[in-house]
Formats: sequence, C-alpha cells, structure tokens
Amino acid sequence: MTPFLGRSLVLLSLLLAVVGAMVAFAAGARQSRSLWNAARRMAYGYAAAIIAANGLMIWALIAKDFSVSYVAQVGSRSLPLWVSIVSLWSSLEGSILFWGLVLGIYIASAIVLNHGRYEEYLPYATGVWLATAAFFSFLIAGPAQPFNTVSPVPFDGPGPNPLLQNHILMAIHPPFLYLGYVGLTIPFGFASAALLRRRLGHGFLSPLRSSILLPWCFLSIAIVLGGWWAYEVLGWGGYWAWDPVENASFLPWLTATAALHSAIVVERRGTLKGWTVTLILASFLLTILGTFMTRSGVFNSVHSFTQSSIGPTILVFLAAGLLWSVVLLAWRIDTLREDAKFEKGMNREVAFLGNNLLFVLLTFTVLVGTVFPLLVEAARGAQMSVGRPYFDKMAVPIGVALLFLMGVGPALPWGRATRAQLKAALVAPSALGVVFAAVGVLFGVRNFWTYLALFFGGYTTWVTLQQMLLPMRQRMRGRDENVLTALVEGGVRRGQRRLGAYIAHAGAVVIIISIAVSSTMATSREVQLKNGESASLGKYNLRFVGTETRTEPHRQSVLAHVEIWKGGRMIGLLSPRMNYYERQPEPIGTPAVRTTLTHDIYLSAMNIDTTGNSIGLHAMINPMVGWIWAATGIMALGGFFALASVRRRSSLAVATTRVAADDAVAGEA
Amino acid sequence: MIVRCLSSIILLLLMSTAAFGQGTGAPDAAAVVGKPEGAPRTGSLLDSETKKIAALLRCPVCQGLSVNDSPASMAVNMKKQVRELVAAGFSQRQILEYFEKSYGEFVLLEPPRRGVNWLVWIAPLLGFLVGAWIIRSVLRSTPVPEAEPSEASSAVDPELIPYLERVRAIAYGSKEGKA
Repeated sequence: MTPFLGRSLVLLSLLLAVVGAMVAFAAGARQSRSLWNAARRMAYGYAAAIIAANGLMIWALIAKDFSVSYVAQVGSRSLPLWVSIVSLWSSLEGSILFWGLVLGIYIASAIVLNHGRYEEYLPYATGVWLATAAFFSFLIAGPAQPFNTVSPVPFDGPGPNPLLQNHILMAIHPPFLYLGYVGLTIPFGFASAALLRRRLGHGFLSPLRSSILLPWCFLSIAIVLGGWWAYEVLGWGGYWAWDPVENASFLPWLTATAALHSAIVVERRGTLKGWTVTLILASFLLTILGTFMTRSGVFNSVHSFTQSSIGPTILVFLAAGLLWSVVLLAWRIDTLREDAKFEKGMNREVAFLGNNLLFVLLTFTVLVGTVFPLLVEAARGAQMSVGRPYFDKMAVPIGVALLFLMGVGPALPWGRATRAQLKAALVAPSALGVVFAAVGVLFGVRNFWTYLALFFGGYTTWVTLQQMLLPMRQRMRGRDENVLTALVEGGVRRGQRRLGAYIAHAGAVVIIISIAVSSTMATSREVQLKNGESASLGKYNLRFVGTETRTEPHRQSVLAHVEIWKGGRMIGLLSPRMNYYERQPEPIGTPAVRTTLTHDIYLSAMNIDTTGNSIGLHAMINPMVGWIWAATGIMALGGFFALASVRRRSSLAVATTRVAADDAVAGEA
Repeated sequence: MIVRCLSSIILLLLMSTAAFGQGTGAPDAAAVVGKPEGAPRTGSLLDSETKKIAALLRCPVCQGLSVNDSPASMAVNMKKQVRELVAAGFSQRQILEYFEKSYGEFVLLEPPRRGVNWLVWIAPLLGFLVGAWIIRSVLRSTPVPEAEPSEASSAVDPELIPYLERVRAIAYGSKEGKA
C-alpha cells in the first residue's frame, strides 16, 4: 500500500512539474495572467505532492515498513529514531527524493515571497524551476525510484552506511548542503527569465541578489560542516582533502561568491551584467555537475562502489542545461553589451575585477584538477591522481591573493584614487598586518605562506573594522550623535547590507588565517601505549588508563580512556573509540577532540587490543581549527544579516515604483 | 568521502599481502631505483622528511587521502616503508619513483610534470593569462579628461532610482524621462 501511494505521489509531482513548466513558459511568452495563475497553482501542487512523498517516506522509515524498497535498503529495526529519519538522505534514491523536497519548498517560497513584486520575471523563472523539478521527479519516478514494492517483505534491513550513523553532524550537514545546492536553482531561474524578457535593468538585481545570498549562506555552512564532520569522524586529523566530493560542493560556492561580488559592480557601475548572469548560470550548472560527480560513481573508479544507473541521465540534463545557458546568452548578447568601461589604475572596481578573476581561476583550477584524472584515464587507460599537493600549490597563492583583495578593495574608492587615498589605503592598515606577522614569529611560524596570510589577514582586519565603523563615525561627526545612536542608526539600521558584508569578510579572514595556521603548525605523533603508560604530546602528557565496552542497539563500541595531563595536573579525559557495526567486518574509529581557545587536542585510536591492554594512538595538536567552525558561523551570520536588509529594501523599492506607476496611470487619465 | 573507508577494507585485503607481505622495502628499493643518493637520516630530520614524502603518496585503498594522513593500516605500512627508505638515505625523487614502479603513476598525488600531465599544470596559468588579458581589455585605455562627470559621486544612487523614476513619471509621464 505504502509503495503504491508513494509512487502515485511521485508521478503526480512529475505530472504537475511538466505541465506546470509548459504553462509557465506559455504565461511568460504571452504575458497572460490567467495562464500564470494556473502555472502558479501547479507549482504549489508540485510542492505539495513532493512534500507529501517525503513525509510518506519518513513515516515508512520510522515505522520500518520494509515493503518499501528504500526502507528495505537502508532501514533497520535496531536504529535510533534520528538515524531512521536521516536515512532519508543516506542513499541515492532517498537523497534525490529529498532534493525534490527542498526544491519544492524553494519554488513555493520563491513564488509566495516574490508574488506581486517581480511579475515580469516570475512566469519564466517558474518555468525554469519546474522544468528542473520535472527532471528530478523523473529520476525518482524512474531510474532512482525509492518506492518500489518489495515482495516478500523482509523482516529487517541492513541500516544505512555505518559512517553515516557515527556522528550527529550527519543529520545536519546534508540538509544544509541541499539547501545550498538546490537553492541555486532559484537565481538560475531569475537569470534565465531576465535574459528571456530582455530585462536586465535595475529591477532584476534585487530578486537575483537575495536568491543567491540565501543558498550561498547555506552552502558556506554546509561545506564547513562537511569538513567538520570529516574532522570529527574520519580520524585523520584534517578537515579538507580536496577529494572530488568536497570539490563538488566547493565549485558552485566559488562561482556564487564571485557572482555576489560582481552584482555589486552591476549595481554601482551598471556594468558586468552579462558576466554576473554567466556566473549565476554557471553556479547552477556546477551544482548539477557536482551531483553527477558524487552520484554517478565515476569518481570511485579505484573501487567502483556506488555504481548507479543515473549518471548518464544526469549528464544529459547537464548538457541540456549547458546548451540552454549558452544559447540564451548568445541569443540575448545584444542586451548584455556593456556601456561603461572601467578606469585604469588602482580603484575599487579593479579590485572587484581581480576578485572575480581569482574566484573563477580557482573554480577552473579545481575543476580541471578534479576531472583531469578521468580524462587521462579515458584517453590513455592508465590511472593517475591529482591530489592535495597539487591543489594546495595552486589554491594557496590564489587564496592569499583573495585575502589581500578583500582588504585592498574596500579600502580603495570607486572611480579614480588620488595618491593620498592610495597611501591611506595601503599604509595604515599594514600596521596591523605587521602585528599579526609578529605574533606569528612569537609562536614559531616557519612557513612563508603562513606569514603572508597573517600579514594580509591583519591588513584586511584593519580595513574591515574601519569599514564597519565608518558610517558610525560619519554620523557622530556630522550629526553630533552619541556612540550608541550612531552605532544603531548608522551601522545596523541603515547600513545593514554593508555591515553584513563586512561581518562576512571578517569571518572569511579568520577562516583563511586559521586554515593557514592549522595546516602548517600542527604537531602529531603516533604511539603504542600499554595500560598505564604515558606519552608526551607538546606540553601535554597522555596516559592510557584502560578500555571500556559500550553496547547500543545498532553498534558496539570499545572506548580507550586517555587522561590528559598538563604541568602535573590532570585536565581531562579523552576517549577515542572503535565502533563495531553489525554486517561490517572492520571497526570504524571515532576520534576524540578537546577544543581549547587556541588549539584542539585530537586523539584517534589506530587499534585497540581486544584484551584492553594496549592501544595504537594517533595524537595531534591542531591549532586554531575550532576557529574555522566559529568563523564560518560569523560569515554565514553576516550573509543572513545582509539578506534581511535586501528583503526590506526591495519591498520599499517596489512600493515606491508602484506608487509611481499608479500616479502615471492617474496622470494619463 | 563516505565510501573512502568502507572500500579500503576490500582492497586492503587484496593488496596488503600481495605487495608488501615480504618484509621491508629497503633492500629491493636499491635494485629498482639505484643506490641511495643522500646520507642516512635520523631524528627530527627523518620525521619531517618522512611526513613530507608520505604526504605526496596516495593511500591506494582510500579516496584521495595521502599515506601521511590516512589511518588505514595499509597506509600505515607504506608510511613505515617510506621512513625506512628515508632513513637509508634515499632521496625524495628515488622514493617516489620506487612507489610509482610498484603501484603505477596512480600513487603519486602530485602529477609528475611530464607528457600529458603538463596540461594540468599549465591550464591554471593559461587561465590566469587569458583572464588578465580580458580584464586589460575592459579597462579604459585612453585617459579620461578630468572634467568628464564619471566620478563615483555623480552616478545616480541606485537607492534613489525609484524616487527619480517617480519624479520623471510625474513630470514626463514615463520612467525614462522622455516626454
């Protein structure tokens, strides 16, 4: 019964998406209100159907209804409730179903929130959204159907991949990733609509900006949560390995970030329209490429593990999207012609151009490095690798250059900079750069790039703080306001978008410095310890005091208790563990981490003797890693903060344009 | 990322015995890559050199993790072997060559700069040059006369556009401001 109901809901969503997309395009082409009303209802209908299908699947997972093929595949009677629920996105079919859920929510919200505002773009945009939705509904209706009937109904299932049950972050990371990834469909729709309608004036910026900013915030959080998950679960003490799956999430983030910045140039200088639109189209295409990379199995070529049949189908969709984008751009090339040119020399728009060059260059480099082994293997038949050393070599200089631009850009004026302005932009903030580098000397930094990151980090911090406080200082001087009023009025209320942007910059500075420090300043050692033995790690002493076995319904864990001593005093107990899952031959380790303000003590058990008498311990001191997680929060907070202002401001703009339009009509009458 | 460790198990069983079952790699390494080029190393130099070289080798049973990073037991064995080779005085070039001969080019995380691999090294540089050239071309080549009103302050503040349009609509009856 459940499988049949599920299949019906999926088919209904497919039908509504296909028909809705056609009606929406017709509504856009004929500018017909009645057609648009029909398309809108079908979009809501699609959202309702796909939400219901997801609800049904979650219910089946919780109720352990093994007659549903997906539940039989990933469910298990021994699972705790939260694992049952997150199983929804633990495997291919469920994750595509979940994709549909997120897309449905996005489409419905985008229509509700923008209804009555961007009427000229919405029909075409809805057409594009629903066409995308139709593709994903097609996947779950056909090649990746999660609601197949299983007969005879098995008594129990194997449960999801143990690595996914290992940490609560697995419940949080994927939803954020999907909110970011899927959300980039919305600006793609707006950009397509703007091109189709030949309307790339000021009106198209507002919906575009907010619709990139929201998924950008989610994607930023998601990427770092993925790194955090790797750090807390995989046990190698790092958070980023440039593996294809990580790169897949990083690529659209890079282009979306570039688009957020070039949109500012569009707003201020009326130029770079075509470029911004291209970046938005590319961001969406990169999410589809990323889905192909992670879902097709081609990147596990060493050990073909997740072979699935949907790879070619996604590739076809990617090709269609690429064709759509290229044709659309070529067709509307006349509306994209830029009228303004840029001034030569050092000024803010040149910094923006540099920013875009570097973001796109990094995208290109990561993309080339990720797919190159595939191409070589296809051409020569021999396997080769492009791994972390390559990416580090390429990304580090680009990252440091971006850090510098993040400082120098805001410090420079638009238009033309005088010599005095140039001097003010470069000299004073460098003082903080020197301070940061000096702190590095104090802590024994030896790496050239780390010094560079510290110096530019300090420089950029100065500029960022200066820019944050600028409106407040101006108000205090110009209007004689006290500090508090000036702060609230100038900084928070009136300059919300600007403040949000600089908060995001501050977060980014901390992230880059933390990455530089944590990747070059870590201490690590591997030791074999018998019960009661100690080993030193930096200023700490680690003492192994025995093991403990814990039994949970879905797994058995062996914990190794290690006391942390510092200066003759015990400061804590860390218990890295080995988890034994049913149907899983090898144990999976979970490291134990103790975070302090400046560093993490990171213990990972390499082996735990069955008698509990000895352990192999990989012990690390990772400086500043905790700062990455915190700073990402700050960065995303800045994004959300700016987003709130975009919404308020654009509703104001619409209200006034409406009044203007009404007046105009009245005047004619 | 997820698949990384699971798949490691399968290949581990297949490969660990086959390639490295027979003791240390040091004796036969000389037969493959010639006599050690450097002096034997000990102490912290040995540690740092081992880490540096192990970071360049791919753990064959993991997904892209280096031998230095991976907790898989095969990677641990390979790292031990790197350490022995470093201690015996083999140079980085020799050690990488030795592992490449045993496992194929696949084991090198940094593609060696030769043949078709040059593409992956040159592509970013090429991308940078093309990008820089494009930027150069959008920058104004002729100096602007000072009087031209193109300074930042003279452009219409985008926030004011709705108001401006309203005024124009009242005055001229159209947003564009032409009667």
